[in-house]
Amino acid sequence: MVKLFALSIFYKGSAEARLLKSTYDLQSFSFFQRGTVQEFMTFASKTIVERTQPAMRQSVKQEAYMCHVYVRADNLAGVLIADHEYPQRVAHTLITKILDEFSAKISADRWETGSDGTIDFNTLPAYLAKYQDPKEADALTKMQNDLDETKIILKNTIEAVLERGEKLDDMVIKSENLSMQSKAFYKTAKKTNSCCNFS
Amino acid sequence: MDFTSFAKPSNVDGNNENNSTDLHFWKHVEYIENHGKDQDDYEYCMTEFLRMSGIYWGVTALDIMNQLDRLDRTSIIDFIRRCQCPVTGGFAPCEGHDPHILYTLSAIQILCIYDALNEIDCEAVVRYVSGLQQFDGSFFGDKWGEVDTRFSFCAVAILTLLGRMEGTINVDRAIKFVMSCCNQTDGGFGSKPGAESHAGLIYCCVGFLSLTQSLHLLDVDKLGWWLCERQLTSGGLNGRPEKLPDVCYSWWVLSSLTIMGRLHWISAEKLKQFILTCQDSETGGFADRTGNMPDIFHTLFGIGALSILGFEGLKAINPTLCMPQYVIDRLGIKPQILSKP
Amino acid sequence: MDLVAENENEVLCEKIINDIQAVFLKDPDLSTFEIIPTILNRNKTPVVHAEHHLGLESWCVKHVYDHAHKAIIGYRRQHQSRYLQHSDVLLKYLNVALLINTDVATFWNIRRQMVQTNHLKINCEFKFSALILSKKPKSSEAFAYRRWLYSFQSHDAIDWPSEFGICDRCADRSANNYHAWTHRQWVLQNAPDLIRSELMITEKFMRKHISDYSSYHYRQTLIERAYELCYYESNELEHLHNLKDLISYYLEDDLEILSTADVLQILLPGVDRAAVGEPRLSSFLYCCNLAAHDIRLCDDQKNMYGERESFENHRRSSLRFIVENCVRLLLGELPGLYLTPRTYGQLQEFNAALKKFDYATNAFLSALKRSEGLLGDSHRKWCTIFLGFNYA
Repeated sequence: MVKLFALSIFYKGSAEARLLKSTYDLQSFSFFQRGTVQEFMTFASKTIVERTQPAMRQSVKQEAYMCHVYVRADNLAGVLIADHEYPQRVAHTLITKILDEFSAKISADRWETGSDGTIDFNTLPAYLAKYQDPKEADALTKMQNDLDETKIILKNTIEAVLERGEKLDDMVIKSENLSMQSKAFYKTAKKTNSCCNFS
Repeated sequence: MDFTSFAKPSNVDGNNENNSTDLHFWKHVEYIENHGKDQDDYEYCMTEFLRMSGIYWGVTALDIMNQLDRLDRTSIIDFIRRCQCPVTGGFAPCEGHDPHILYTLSAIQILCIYDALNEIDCEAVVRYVSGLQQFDGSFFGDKWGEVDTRFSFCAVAILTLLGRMEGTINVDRAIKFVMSCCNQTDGGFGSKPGAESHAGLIYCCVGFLSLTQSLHLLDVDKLGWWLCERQLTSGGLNGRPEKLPDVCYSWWVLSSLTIMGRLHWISAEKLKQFILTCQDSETGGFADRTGNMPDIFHTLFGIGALSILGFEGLKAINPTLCMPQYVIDRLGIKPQILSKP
Repeated sequence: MDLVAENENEVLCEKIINDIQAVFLKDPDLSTFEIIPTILNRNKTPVVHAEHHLGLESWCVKHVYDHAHKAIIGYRRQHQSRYLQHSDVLLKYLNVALLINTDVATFWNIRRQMVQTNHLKINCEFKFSALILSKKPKSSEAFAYRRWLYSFQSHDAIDWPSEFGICDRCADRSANNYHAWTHRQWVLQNAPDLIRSELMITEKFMRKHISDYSSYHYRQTLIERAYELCYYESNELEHLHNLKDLISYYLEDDLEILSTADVLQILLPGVDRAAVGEPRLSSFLYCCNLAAHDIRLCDDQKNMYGERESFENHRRSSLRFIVENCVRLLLGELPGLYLTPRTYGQLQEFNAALKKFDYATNAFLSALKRSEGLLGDSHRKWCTIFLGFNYA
């Protein structure tokens, strides 16, 4: 499915990444799962930003999803969570464009202490809606040409992004940003048989 | 959309390192033997509605592994007798449920394996099956009127096993209906006229033509092309374009190709490897894919596919009826098979 | 388990089932049901209801299902053929049992009997089966049940667009949803006047669900069906952009293909147009233009997303549509046979004729054959098997 789920902007501080702005499109998830999904998406975005070097791009596959991350040299970072079928080139171009706009509007001295409530930058929802159709990116052709796709680091799971000795299971349990409900959800997600309905 | 795919715990994803080429033979025997022993088990309760087929999958897999004596023949036959509907003659999947042609076939298959057809009222079964045929040649699955090519297969398979194909149904019309479900675009078959080609339904339709001695109606080149495209780089087979590989399709694609005399059109070695990675080395049993939970359904089709591929230590399986070949021989049945070109 | 605990358990299950039934009575517009993963019984009701969504916490599901299941089978055993007289009580168990385990045919059959004996209203049953599809969009039982319910309604009174809407939702939520797309074909059989909107909806769907081959297959049958019904849109016939572009592409020539008559002259030289008839020719052009449109769509998608089986297969299917229907008209078959052959005898006859057809006699088709032959060994082999092209 060609689909965007979440778009967020972080400041990668020395200790941890700080969420500055985010938006979600979770209509395709079932109603009572949306809260958990949003928490996990924010958790995954933050985790990956913290493990991405400045001036680096990564695209991390997690099952059917892709987390596209770009941390600029000045530590401003953008994350786009999309379905794995969404074109990677367009995803990274979009992140670049949004970070450019963000840094033009919000001065760098406010990044370190800013938060969702204090920062006045409200165009993320409109972008998330517009770029659901990647053809919209045709207008960004010039930018796309500047993007060197071979420099994007590809990872097959979130685990592959973690540092030596880190375990995703432990991080989920310890996370202060995940609710009890979400942690319970994580534990109950187990082996599944998706295929066959026998009858 | 289900979020479990995003939040999957780390122990089950990633690359499976189970590259073993060994069949965990005794683990599987144990798995099947123990299946259903814990009757309070939730899965057992949830799958009650297809119990008869569950027993058929277990019985057939164990017989192919030459371990049939591990199950209690008497109690199974008693169970089957209790499931025959006194009014219609069809079989329910379990006591308390309604009869359906799917479970009627499973019941007959088990009885044939146990050489126990005399234990039930076969005439009533014949009446049930022939009563489900419609004017256009198709078959209802039960009295509520769903039509599907699976039911056409079930009907002729039941009548063949009972030796009652002659004079009970209109075979010409039945063939005509099945052929109306053939897609000109790819030579495959779907569940109804116009429905998308699907490996499971292709097995049903090819099997149907094999039992009605009408394989000459197949466009072998077209259908063979489509079936061969089911093999993916992992060696596994999927059931439709753009789907993931799955052990049960190993059976449906392989058996169809075998009936068509074209088994050599896919890579047997790579498929064998794929099937073996879908074993659960701890609990026994096969899953649909590497790393998933095993179940009895995929266990039969994993074992069955390995048997077709000539795996050592397994009895031969008949590709049309998915039953041990010696049983088919004992009944004197000869489903049509095309010769290798 | 000791008797006291067992009894407590049953009381609790009964309470949960009553809670769910209360939601059903209170909110006739329930839109979705789901099971919410939770581990612990938090000592409050596991039944959650908000904004027409119903949720049940997972910790109780096993017990509740077991309880409802035993109750239903028990009623049947105890009251034999008269069990339907207890429909009111049975219904709450049936609702819960099917919400949890949607595949149990016997439970659906009991509902059918209740409908037949006027213990259940058809309208409520449409809602209930739609709710089941919100939890399991692939439920073949729920789709079959809906088809059965429709058999009681007068054809003209049925809201077919809304039934297409159900198919949309189920296909959107579950990729390659075989039952949703087969059900959609059944709806189309009943509502062929909706072809035009179906053509628009399917294209939109394919652009979003790029590897959902079931939608591509449906689109293929949709175009076949349009041709079968002699469908066309007059204003389209003036343009035929996609078809003209395709012709220029194969003939490697910036031909001045100005009019519809030019296109016909290129595709069907020497065909007696009067004998074929105006409507059939119009539909032929319109549908070939659709196929040409889809060939371009597949090429565009390939540029955007890279190679995919669905793009390749659909492109081939569209190509096959154009070639086969040109040949059919060029062979001058009787009007009834311009259509896709309906019986396997006719099908075999046509395929034999296709294999023997001399493509050299037609400039367009031989250019197409040459051009497609350049797309690799595998594609050449496909053209040989499926189009009867002989590249020797």
